[in-house]
Amino acid sequence: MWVGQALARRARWRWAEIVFWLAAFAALFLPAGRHLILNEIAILALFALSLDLILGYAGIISLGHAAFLGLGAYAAGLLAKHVTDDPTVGLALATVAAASLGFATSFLVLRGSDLTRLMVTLGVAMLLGELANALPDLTGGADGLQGVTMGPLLGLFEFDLYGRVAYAYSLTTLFVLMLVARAVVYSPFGLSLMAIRRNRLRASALGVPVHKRLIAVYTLAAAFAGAAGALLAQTTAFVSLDFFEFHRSADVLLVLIIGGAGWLYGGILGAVLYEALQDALAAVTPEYWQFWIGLFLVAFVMLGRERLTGGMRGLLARFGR
Amino acid sequence: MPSATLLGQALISGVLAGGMYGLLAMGLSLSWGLLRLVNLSHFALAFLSAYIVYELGTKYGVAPWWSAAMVVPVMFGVGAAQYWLFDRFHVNELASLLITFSFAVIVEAGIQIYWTADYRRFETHYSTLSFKVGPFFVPVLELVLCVVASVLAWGTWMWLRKTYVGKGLRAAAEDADIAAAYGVDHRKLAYLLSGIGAAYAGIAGTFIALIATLAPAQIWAWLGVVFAVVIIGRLGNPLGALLAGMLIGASESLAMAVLSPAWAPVVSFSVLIVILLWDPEWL
Repeated sequence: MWVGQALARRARWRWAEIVFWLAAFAALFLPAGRHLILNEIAILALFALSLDLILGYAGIISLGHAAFLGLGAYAAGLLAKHVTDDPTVGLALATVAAASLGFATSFLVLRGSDLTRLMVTLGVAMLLGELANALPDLTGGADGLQGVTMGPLLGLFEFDLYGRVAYAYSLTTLFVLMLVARAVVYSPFGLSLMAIRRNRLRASALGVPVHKRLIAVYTLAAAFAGAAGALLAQTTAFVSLDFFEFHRSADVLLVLIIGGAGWLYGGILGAVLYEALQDALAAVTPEYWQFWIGLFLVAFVMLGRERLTGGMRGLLARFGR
Repeated sequence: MPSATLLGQALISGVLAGGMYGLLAMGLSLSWGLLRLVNLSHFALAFLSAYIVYELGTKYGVAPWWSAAMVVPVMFGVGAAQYWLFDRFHVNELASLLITFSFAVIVEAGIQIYWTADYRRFETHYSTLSFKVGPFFVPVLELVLCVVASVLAWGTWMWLRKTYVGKGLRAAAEDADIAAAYGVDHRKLAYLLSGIGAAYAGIAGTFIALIATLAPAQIWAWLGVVFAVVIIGRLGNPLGALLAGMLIGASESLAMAVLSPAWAPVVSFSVLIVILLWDPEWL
């Protein structure tokens, strides 16, 4: 009873959360013009949320999370090109495909130390990228997968040029998957994951089936990332080898660190900050923005990580009361 | 199936090209294995060195070995300075990954600003020199690279095994507190090692300038393969890094000859995953 109460309290919806989601959905009714970037943010946030499940809750550092993003994107793109242009079917298929890959590679990831784990995740992403490059008949190779056209969402809403439907689609997916993530993280299963992250040996001594839990959460995270890949492919109507690139994996890691790992909203906060920063820098110095963003990130990780996200979390918690 | 001569030639070029993987992997392996810092900016430093050698060579006509004599000490300083930052801000493994990634982004952007994103090629007569052994061609430049890499690998390995400084470093990597209790000044050694790692990037960069075509985005091109080499060669082991580099180089080159060029990287990552699955004792 006591554990149940504690879990229920943790799982309670906070005011800040409700306000955030209302605002995010209200942004749908903004005048046209910002929805493309909002869509991008929502997808990046979903991708970072998926990484948060394994990094923030299970303590697995991945350098190759783009493997699942890319696989989901290619699955959705190929389905749209050759079978059906229904976006939701593509989303479902991409999720299942990425989850299968996650399940298969989770056994590799479980082996060895943290360091070999970094390498395994990186290796899987690189391997998939090279495979996609080596099979141009299927994937279009270095030219990318072209000619992806999507049908109307749910048979009702055509994707428009301004990205309003795309944003609605991505945001709804993000919201639904956030509900799933909340349910998972605030369950006894989620507690056992956190126990594993803090002290693996002790968790297994307490009878937590460590391997099974890690396999399950890795598969779930892969599914989320696959969904993000599908959204990206469907709303931009393009898939390229770039989806598997190391840059994607590293960027999402940075996004999550900026927003803070281990509290579910870190991915969203990080995605908003990261995209806003990029947007602002690109507007001020279109040539040198990469340079400045690099500098900012170095400074941020070294100095401000704890302080900034800690402060933000404290603020949210206070508003939540 | 290609002829025996072609396969032999592929094997020779592969092993020689693997020397470059080994040389790049060495510095990375040392800082990862002995300092617990994953230095993604290693590649950026190598390419920065390559660009400097290119610039000195094409603009001022400086011979590559003189450029190397200038670049390598500078890189040593950069490596030591990097360690100062890590030490000053108590950077752990994950943070080192993120910081050095950002650092590489800065260097990439810097290169792009100064040298633009165009492809650059340092034309020298060395790149075409080769001699013939039986039916096989041996490129001189790659051979020199391999000899240099082997000497460095063997020298570093002996240094780590036989000298007090090297033993102290390995002891500190094993358990910093106990090593400190025995009077090992971990910090001083770490500055040295971090500098040496970056100096190796400078040496690798000199050869990159002579062998490869330069472009800012190329910084990331070798990351996956070299990481694989670091792991296969065992962290912190320079000889292992060199041998693993040659193994990967040879298997890529053979895959290129037997299958097609596009399949070469697939093979190298498959080798990595097979080895990780096999989980041999030396890993």
